[in-house]
Amino acid sequence: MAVLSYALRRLAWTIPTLFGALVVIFFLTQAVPGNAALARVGLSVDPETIAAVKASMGIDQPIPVQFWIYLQNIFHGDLGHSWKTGNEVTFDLAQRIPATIELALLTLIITVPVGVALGVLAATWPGSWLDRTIQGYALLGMGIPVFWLGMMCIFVFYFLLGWVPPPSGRIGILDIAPPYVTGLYTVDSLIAGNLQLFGSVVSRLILPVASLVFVCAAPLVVMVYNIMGVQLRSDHIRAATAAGLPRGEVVRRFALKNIMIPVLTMVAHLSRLLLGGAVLVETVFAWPGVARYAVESMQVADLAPLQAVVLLITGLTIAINLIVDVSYFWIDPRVKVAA
Amino acid sequence: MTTLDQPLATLAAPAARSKPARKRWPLSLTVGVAILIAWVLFTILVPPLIGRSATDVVYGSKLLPPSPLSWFGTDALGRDLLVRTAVAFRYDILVAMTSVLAAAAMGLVLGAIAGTAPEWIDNLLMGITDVISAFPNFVLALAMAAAFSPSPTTLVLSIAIVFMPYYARTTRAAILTEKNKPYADAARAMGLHPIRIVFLHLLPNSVPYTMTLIATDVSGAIMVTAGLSFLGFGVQPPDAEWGLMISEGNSFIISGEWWVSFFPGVAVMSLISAFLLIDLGIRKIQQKF
Amino acid sequence: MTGPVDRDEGVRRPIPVLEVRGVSKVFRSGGSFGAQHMVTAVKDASFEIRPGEAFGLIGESGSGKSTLGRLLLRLEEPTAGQIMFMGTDIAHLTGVQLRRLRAGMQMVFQDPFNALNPSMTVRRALAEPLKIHRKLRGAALDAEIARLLDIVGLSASAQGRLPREFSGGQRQRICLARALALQPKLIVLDEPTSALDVSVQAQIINLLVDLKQQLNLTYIFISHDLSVIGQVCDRIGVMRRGELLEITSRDQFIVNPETEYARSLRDAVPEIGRPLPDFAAEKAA
Repeated sequence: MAVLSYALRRLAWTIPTLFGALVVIFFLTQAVPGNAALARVGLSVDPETIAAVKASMGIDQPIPVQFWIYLQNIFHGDLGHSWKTGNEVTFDLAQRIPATIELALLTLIITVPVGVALGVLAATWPGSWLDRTIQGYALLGMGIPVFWLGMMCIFVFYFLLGWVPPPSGRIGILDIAPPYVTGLYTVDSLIAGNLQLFGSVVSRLILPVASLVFVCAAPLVVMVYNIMGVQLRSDHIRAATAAGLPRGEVVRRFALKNIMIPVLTMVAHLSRLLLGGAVLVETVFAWPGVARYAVESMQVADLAPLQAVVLLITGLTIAINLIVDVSYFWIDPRVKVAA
Repeated sequence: MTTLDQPLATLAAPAARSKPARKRWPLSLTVGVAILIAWVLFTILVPPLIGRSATDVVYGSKLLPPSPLSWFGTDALGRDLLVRTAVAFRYDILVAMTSVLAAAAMGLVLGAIAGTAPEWIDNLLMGITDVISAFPNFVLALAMAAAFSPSPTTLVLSIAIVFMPYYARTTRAAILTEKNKPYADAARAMGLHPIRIVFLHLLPNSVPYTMTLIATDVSGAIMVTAGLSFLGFGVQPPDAEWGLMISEGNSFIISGEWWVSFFPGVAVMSLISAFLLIDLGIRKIQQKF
Repeated sequence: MTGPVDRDEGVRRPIPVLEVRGVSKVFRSGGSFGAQHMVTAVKDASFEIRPGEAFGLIGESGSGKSTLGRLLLRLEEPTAGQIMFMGTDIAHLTGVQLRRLRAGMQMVFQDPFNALNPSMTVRRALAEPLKIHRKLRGAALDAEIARLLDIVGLSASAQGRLPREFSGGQRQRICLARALALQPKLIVLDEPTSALDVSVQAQIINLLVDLKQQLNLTYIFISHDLSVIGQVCDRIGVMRRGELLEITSRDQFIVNPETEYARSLRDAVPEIGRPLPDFAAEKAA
């Protein structure tokens, strides 16, 4: 089974990368001068207290030992303890992961068709007003800071127009979260049959998702536009056009087929962009997701959550790359294992 | 056998340059450069014309909306936002350009080493770039910026490392292509030192391949700079930097004081767009060749 | 395989510039997982080059003649054998020693468009070997660069230009000047004219012949084109599938090649006045 063997080889190939990522995360968050114990107990404490705190955190050990302990803990599913929330990091994450997934998944589901459609439209009628408008959007979308866009959306749609509730997370203060099924409030509220709650959840999702889509779709549009441009200038398309096929038909029949692989690659890139953007968007909208958890922990030098979230995001990125590469192979088996 | 019946023709080399084609200077390049020039003028001229510095606090003028008195309004401390926005340009452009140049420099050296060194060094270096690329750009920059004490140097280094892998990879690929060309063999046959061959022969010819993303990366670096500062891990108060200024307005947006964040955001957008337009223009010129 | 018999032996034997003994080159391809492919590019080649001679290596493309040329300059590592250059075995030299000896041998490549560093002006390209190996500076350097350009038939005004400003023939002249800069004992010419227009080919060949006489140079001339080899070389080695089949003098080669293959090579050269082989008759027979 060629795909399976490719997938296994590709999987084996991610192990050193994942290990390297662990090393980087560990050293960035643990071994650097920003001394964790000092940050925790404050500056004006006697040395004995600091030593005691260090010992309790396990950071009085030599660094390689610490790293070894860190690795062992990860394999046992122990991501450490957040002193800020007072919980196990895994517990905190379990509560926050659905929020981020809901945001990211919804964004991705909207971004891909929107981006592809806009790119195809613009490329099909180059030079038209439609083309110019879409190109203008793409430039704007790549230049706009997503956090600023989110803030301006809040100003317009909450403060000026009052169409959406204030940016205070996934549900209103008076709302009660739907019974846990998937963790995604949109789905869970529908399962519970609570349409009013569903409306509330959606109204709070609109702005963050719209901001992320606006920013993430732009590079996708540009890529689809460029690929379609090349496609439409190729000989077989020209021949089809010359044979009298209408423009739309030509695009649908020939060009679209060939953009699937590049779009797939782009999805991997998008997910990285999206996860980076999520950090900022969650901050702006007070969204109780993992990225906001990481940023809040970072601000008070709470290391364990930070390590866990960076590891989570990076692991996710590596996994997405893996999936994309394997499906790439599935579509076109000529792809070789990159060496 | 042919004899020397032909005198050696002394050939003056005719300039075989391609005819100066009438190329249209791309509009996007003009606009991009114009925006940059406008920013330079803006940052130089605005503070003396307004007569206030970026940190001057005007008492009794907190959170004033834009008016003929102060065009962009004032922030929560009563500082003039026009001056601050103008001055902040220096921070953003400097950090972004330095970090991308540093990324390119690191990438060129690493790529050159990887492309010529023994296989295990190559594998090691490429493994490192793989690990760096495994992180989402912004997340890694954030983790690095947060790990070390906040300073412009930390900021530049964090961004540079994040943008480095592309340059290392393209340089390596270019070196691998170049080192199989006959001129590299000629240099080897001349008995030149391998290091000299890499840095004086192969690298200069590899640089053009790697420079295609410089403008795009500068725009990306501006975005990362602003994003890190927005979260509090970049430029620190009271310095004026766009991302920081946007974050200073974050708490006022739900109460309607939009101007605190609005103008620095427009500034970020205009500068990033300028670099994207320049990139677009350069591509158009290259296509015509 | 004992190696070809050198039928020109015993005429006169000055000390050879280069002595090749049983040199082989095997290329391995394929990774550690898949099956390895082994290609023998050069198999047990032995010959010697005497000062002042022009030795032609002829063979079809893929016969290993270019690889052999590259082996002699140690651009490839020989798998087996000895390469004695001026009495030293360079087959396994490395580092400084190899670099020092390399200057004594130079190569002119087939593709003049890639044989010059595109970002170096002619002056820099010529000055580099002069500065590093011959330690020339200042006026002496200028004079030597001008002299080199002059003997390959280029004007001094070429100095400030980049390779892309020259035609193929002119570039080949620059390559030749660069090779001559080190006053090499031996120049390997790897198909130096095959990328050029026919009219330019003749100019370059004339230049090569002229320079050889003027400067008493020693050539190894690699070509698939017998008519070109015939104009330049005194002795000819015939290669086929990595093996050096025979080595003969040029005249011998034309009158009576030893091997069947060499004869077929000779007969394949179209010549004005000689009728082409009658394929129609062969077919009918």
